[in-house]
Amino acid sequence: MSDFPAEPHTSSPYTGSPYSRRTAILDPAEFFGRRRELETIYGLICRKTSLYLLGERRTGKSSLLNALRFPRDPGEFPMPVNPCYIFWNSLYFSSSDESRLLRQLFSQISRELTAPIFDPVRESLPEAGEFARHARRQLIVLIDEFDVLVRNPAIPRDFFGVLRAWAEEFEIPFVIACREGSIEGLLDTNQVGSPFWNILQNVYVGPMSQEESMELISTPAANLDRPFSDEDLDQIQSWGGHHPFFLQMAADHTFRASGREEQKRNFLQEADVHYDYIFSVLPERELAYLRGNRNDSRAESELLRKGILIRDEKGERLFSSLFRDKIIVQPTSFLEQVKAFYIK
Amino acid sequence: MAATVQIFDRIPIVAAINNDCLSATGRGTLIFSPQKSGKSHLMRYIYSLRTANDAIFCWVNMDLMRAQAANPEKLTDRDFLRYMLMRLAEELEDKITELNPKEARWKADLMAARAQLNVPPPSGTPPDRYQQIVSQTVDALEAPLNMLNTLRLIADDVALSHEASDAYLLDLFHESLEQLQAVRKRVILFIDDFHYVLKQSDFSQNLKYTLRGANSEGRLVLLLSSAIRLMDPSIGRGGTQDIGTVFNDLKLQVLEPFDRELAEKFLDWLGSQDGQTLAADERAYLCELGGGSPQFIETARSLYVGRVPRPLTQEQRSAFEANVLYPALEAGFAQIWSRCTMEQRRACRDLIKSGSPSAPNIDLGAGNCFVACAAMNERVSRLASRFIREQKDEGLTGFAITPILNYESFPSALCLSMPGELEALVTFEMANQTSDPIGVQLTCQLQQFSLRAAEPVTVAPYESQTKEMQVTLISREAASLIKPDNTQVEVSYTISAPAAPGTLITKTFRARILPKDYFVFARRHKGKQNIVSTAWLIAAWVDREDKSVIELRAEAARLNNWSMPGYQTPDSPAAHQVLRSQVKALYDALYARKLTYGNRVLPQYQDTNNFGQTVRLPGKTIGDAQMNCLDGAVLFASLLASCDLDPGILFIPEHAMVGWKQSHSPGADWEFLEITDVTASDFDAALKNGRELFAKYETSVVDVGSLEPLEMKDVEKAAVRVDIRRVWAAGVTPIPA
Repeated sequence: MSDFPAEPHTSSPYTGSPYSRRTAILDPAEFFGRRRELETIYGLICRKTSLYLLGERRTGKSSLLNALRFPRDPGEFPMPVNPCYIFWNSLYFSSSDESRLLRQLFSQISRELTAPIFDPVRESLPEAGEFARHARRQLIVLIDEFDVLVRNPAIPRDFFGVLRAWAEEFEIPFVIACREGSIEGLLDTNQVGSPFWNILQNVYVGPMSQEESMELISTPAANLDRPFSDEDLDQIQSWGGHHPFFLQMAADHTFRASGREEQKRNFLQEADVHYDYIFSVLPERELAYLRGNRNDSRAESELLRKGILIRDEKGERLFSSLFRDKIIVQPTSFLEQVKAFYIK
Repeated sequence: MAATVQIFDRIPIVAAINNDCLSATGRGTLIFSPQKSGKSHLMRYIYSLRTANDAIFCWVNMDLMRAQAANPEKLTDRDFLRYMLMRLAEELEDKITELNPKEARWKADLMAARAQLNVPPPSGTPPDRYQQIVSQTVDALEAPLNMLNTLRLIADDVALSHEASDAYLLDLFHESLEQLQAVRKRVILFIDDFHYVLKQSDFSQNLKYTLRGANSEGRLVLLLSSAIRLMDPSIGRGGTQDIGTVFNDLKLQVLEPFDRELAEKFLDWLGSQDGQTLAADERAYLCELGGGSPQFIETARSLYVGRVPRPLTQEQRSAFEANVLYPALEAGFAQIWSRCTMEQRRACRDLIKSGSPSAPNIDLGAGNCFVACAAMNERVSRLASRFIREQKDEGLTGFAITPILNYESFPSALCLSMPGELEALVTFEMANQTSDPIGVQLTCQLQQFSLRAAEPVTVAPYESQTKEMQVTLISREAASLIKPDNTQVEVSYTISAPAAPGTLITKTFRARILPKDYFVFARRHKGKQNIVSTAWLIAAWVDREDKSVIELRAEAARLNNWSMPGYQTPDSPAAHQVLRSQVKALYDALYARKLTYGNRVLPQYQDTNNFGQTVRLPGKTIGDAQMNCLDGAVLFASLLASCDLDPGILFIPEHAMVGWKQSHSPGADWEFLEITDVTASDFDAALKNGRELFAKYETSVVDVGSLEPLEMKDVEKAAVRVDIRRVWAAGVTPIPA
């Protein structure tokens, strides 16, 4: 196809792609970019301020949460002194009661601080806080997929208020991650308790910068002495925009397959359902903007914020040429494909 | 350990799975193939290899799990966890048996290393350095012993868990994985046909989240296979139970059918296994019969080489196909056929008739298996063609069914307050042009928010029928909605005709469910394209039992000498005075709350068919201490109703007022007040302003006291007065707070 970059000059046998991960990053060597966010988060933690990482699905919130625990060079970021990170993956507690949640919390604290086992009851929270203070360790609680925890009916509403009191009394910063829009509604009904929510400062996790995107896609291949060509890099960016998830996927298929057509086919086989998902959750006015209603500056700014649109020196464009192709090649679009089912 | 399963080729995908899934840093993977391309065989092959030393391999066999379940028809989390833990224990026992003989030597080495700690360092080695080296050796020797002890502990715990509670089983599952991770062991969980597991089992969201969580933390590596993508809407996406996106972080490995070259090599490979070689024309013949499916090719070859003599002439081959091979492949064809949608089946039929599908770019899904044959031979395999031709046309030409979605944005308030009056969620249009009666089992559901509605219908020969289906909202789910949520409408139907097996077709439509405080003032009827008033719905916001309303009423009673008697009879000036003093007391009690004026009308989502806005429920208005005209009107109407007075709400362009009847009499006069004055002015001012404004519209106002459709020519100029008590009498109930 004429708009495709040239075929790569060489095709290497399959040796394993360094871009195969689709889950959150756990290995420091696989983590790139997000320096601005890390600086902000560490800064807030140092000030004992709790915060809330919000962003769309698959933007790397969980990876960022994991990255807080990675070893860091001195002076790289403002760092808390003697940190003791406690990690709650809410997915494990979608129907657990408070006691199980606390048991998991205390078992981590006991392990990290070589502390005695605390009873899994609220009353032990001050005891654990006091122990950490006495041991001169800074407790930092990281909670991933927080919306799952909030939706758990077995956790009493006032529990979150107790957490706030604990966080404030013992100066324990909480870092919470959940998808944007997944929880705000629940807060209005006081299920979480605005008291808890009020102590959190928002940190938005959006698309990566151009430089970070390049770092993410070029470094792993270069580390294997199989650097991407400029055409490869152009292709990957043209398919993934500044979205770490799609960039990773585009880099993966560009790295594995030798022909452009095959790379594109393989990429689309995997990315298509995710593109569809993006379409399906886009608000109507943002969809309208993408379909040509350019007079809605609010929709435009939302799309830029989410990374669906990219604005740079070349102007404004959709984050992925293949996402654009979906609209152009199939003017029916996702929504209208669905409608086509009953308009007969 | 099971014997190694043999596999032909599949080198790239096996290498990719080894690297991406089974390696030390590997993560969850989905082997995706809609056709009979051998994904189950590939799974078994990888399972039999057990290449990763640091992993515990667990195969979850759903049939075995069913056999052990209390209710095989309805698998539960408990069934899964118990089965999974038992498999884990078996694997651990194997591992322990393998490691036991080494334990004595490990212990001896460890003792010897520990003894070195008390020995002076060799000359020339600094004591600190010496201690460090010995300590590292001790740690290294302790690791396998710790690991072995951990495996024993877990195996013992699992063995004792037969009668354990569900919660304990879940804890044990978590803790086992955590302990294994601590000794650098991962569990690789193999589940074949995972889409069936998601669709058919009764596993909770909790279990699915647990699997996702363990997979994302590397404690568990999911290796799944599926004939459909796990984010496919048919699996269930949207709402709070978002199944489709729970498994959105798996690496996709697509397993393709064989092309012609690979199919021929596959036949050669099979020959090398059993010594039954094939001539070139025999290979071509079998490829023609088996297409790109390893299973079909292998079956065809096995039966072919098993014939003595082999069928070589045209006549012999025709008899072989008809009497031997077709009966053997028919079940497989039927399985693929059952995975095709109506549209895909139509495309397959077109392929046979004209050589190409009627709709370009259609994804044939499982039907690609037939297309794979076509790609190789420029036509569909004879046997697949025969099978497709023999399938009863379920009505693709003779019977048509079209589900029409009536709500792309579903106003939950409408359904919560007046379920019986709700327009159907889905309209099914059916036309039977066959000579047989056609039975159809229809179902529809607003996923996560409604119960599943089901209804059997029979469409007589050569007749058409329309069936409208409503759904019953799950009050708890709908009442907790305070912002729009994405969900899906799932529509399914099974068509049963004489001599044709029932086929379940499921379709999903994207939909939004609107929050309970989204008030639809008018709707555009999709069919007629006119605008119909639903102003009566405001009666659902009026709630005399709301806690805040009851409190305010008590305060008003205190201001009115502890007396709120309602209407007095007979109707007289004195009775009007009693009425007025009650209304004033209610107003004064509200005035004392010092509410401020504030708009919160713009909904987070507005579609083009609804004229609506967000309206606070009475309790929220009091809680927010803020209101606009309609919030205030709703609140004050609730207060009036709490005193047995008859409230009304008047909608005029861009504004609303609250009023009350002077008596219970149907023809009684109305009095209105400007409720926004309660934020700043006294009762007399509010009454004066209300009367003046009402006078402007009194002659043109349209009364609404029932749920009859009221067509509105111009929604922005209408003046509509809703008699709350009459609308309640028609069946509208307040929205749950």
